[in-house]
Amino acid sequence: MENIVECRNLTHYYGNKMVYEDLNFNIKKGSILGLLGKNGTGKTTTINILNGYLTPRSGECIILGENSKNLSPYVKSQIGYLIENHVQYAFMNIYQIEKFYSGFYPNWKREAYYDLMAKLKVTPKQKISTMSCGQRSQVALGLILAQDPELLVLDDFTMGLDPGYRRLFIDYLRNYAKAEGKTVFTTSHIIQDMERLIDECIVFDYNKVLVYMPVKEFMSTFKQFNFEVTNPDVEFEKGGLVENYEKIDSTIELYTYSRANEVESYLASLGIAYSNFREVPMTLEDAFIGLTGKY
Amino acid sequence: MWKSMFYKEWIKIRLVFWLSVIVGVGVTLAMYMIIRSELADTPVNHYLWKIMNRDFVFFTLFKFLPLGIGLLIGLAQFIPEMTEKRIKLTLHLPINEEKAGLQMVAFGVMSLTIIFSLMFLVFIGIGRYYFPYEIIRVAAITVAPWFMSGFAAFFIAGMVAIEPIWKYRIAYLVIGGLFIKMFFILWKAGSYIYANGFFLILVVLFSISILFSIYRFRKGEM
Repeated sequence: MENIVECRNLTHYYGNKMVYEDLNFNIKKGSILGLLGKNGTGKTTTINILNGYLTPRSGECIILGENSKNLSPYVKSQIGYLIENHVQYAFMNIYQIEKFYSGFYPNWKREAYYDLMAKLKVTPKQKISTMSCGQRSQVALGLILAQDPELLVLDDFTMGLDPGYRRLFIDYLRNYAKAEGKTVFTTSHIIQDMERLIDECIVFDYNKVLVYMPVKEFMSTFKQFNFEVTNPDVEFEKGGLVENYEKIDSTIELYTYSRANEVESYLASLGIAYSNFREVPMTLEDAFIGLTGKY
Repeated sequence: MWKSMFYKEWIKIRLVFWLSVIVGVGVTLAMYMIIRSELADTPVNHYLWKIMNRDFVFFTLFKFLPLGIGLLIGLAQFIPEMTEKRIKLTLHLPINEEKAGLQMVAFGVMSLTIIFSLMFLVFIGIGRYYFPYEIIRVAAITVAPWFMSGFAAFFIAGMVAIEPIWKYRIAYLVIGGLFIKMFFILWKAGSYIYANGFFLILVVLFSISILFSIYRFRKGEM
């Protein structure tokens, strides 16, 4: 399948602080890729590189066949970009902003924008700066729908939204992307929302990529096992079978890509006495926290 | 596309634009009302003698007005772009980034030209009613750098606002401040008669300074 985005060997530092080294990922046409990570792991950095607002120290991103450092007006017209916090020209009202953007896009779909605006309880002359975060998110989404781009780049679109608007945004976006065959690249640190939206995920930790695979594969292979140990001082070495673990008194939460029998064999090989061994079902958020840790 | 860009810029500055027109033209009119009352109290010959032989500048009230207007238009245009880094939206528009920056600057220059032309027309028009041609000619030469300072302030405001790093902003402010000071060093009427052409070239060169800040922003300087 054709790749809409290809990032090769991306390396970036802020001064001497490494963000990541040799990051590679592709986004296939029609897929929804979620970039997940805690604050400060490089999500927005990646978005900035993709949009040409940041030159990586090395490596490159190819978007729709062009290097992101020098995107042509045509390719930019094919990228819908939603900035963190749904930033838009807040000094405009919903009529003015539609009029402004429509002049730049020959295939502008005015109806798509106004259909969504009709659902908002705002007056046409109300300035965007006076709207709630949820309403602003709908304005930003409406503008992207009207632009009708090939690729949607959404930077932490859930930030500041209440659960209702988050759900509305995600359902609207997913239906649109799947019906129109659009490609979506999105970041978020509210993982529970992403489960309903994304096909593939990349999980960032500080300086490294922990996971890059389809969400279904991740959710079916990554597991949490809980058990009680008699010796609460027990420690596990991360890497190999144990991806991560948390210890709450004598209860161990162990995160792994291995099966139950493999984990039990591993515990036996270490001579660890345990009881009440069980697999715990996880949501994507549980899996994310299990993988990256609570701190 | 330039129509859309101008539309956005107009929404940003329209209040400041009308305020500048009212204040600019109003102060010019007020200046002549003061002159009118002074002429009522002073013999005309003595007033003209003061202007011609004692280097009396009758239009000092006017002096920093274009500078203030240029700065105000610049801030009205570029501060909203940098608030929440909205410049990212502008640079993401499907036009060349440098072209987008220059279109914004072109709109500001056009707005300032309209405001300054109105002020200049009122200044010269009413001035010709009170004073002979020679005095008004020297007055026009004297106010020319003041108007140019308004354009310079606008360009510097854009360059400083878009610049992503504070220490560079401060450096631009210092350089820009010194540059603008150049327009106000000499006080005598007509002093800059031979410098106006040179000033004009410098101001035109400054007009593209925003491109440097845009380049640095896109490079991701922090």
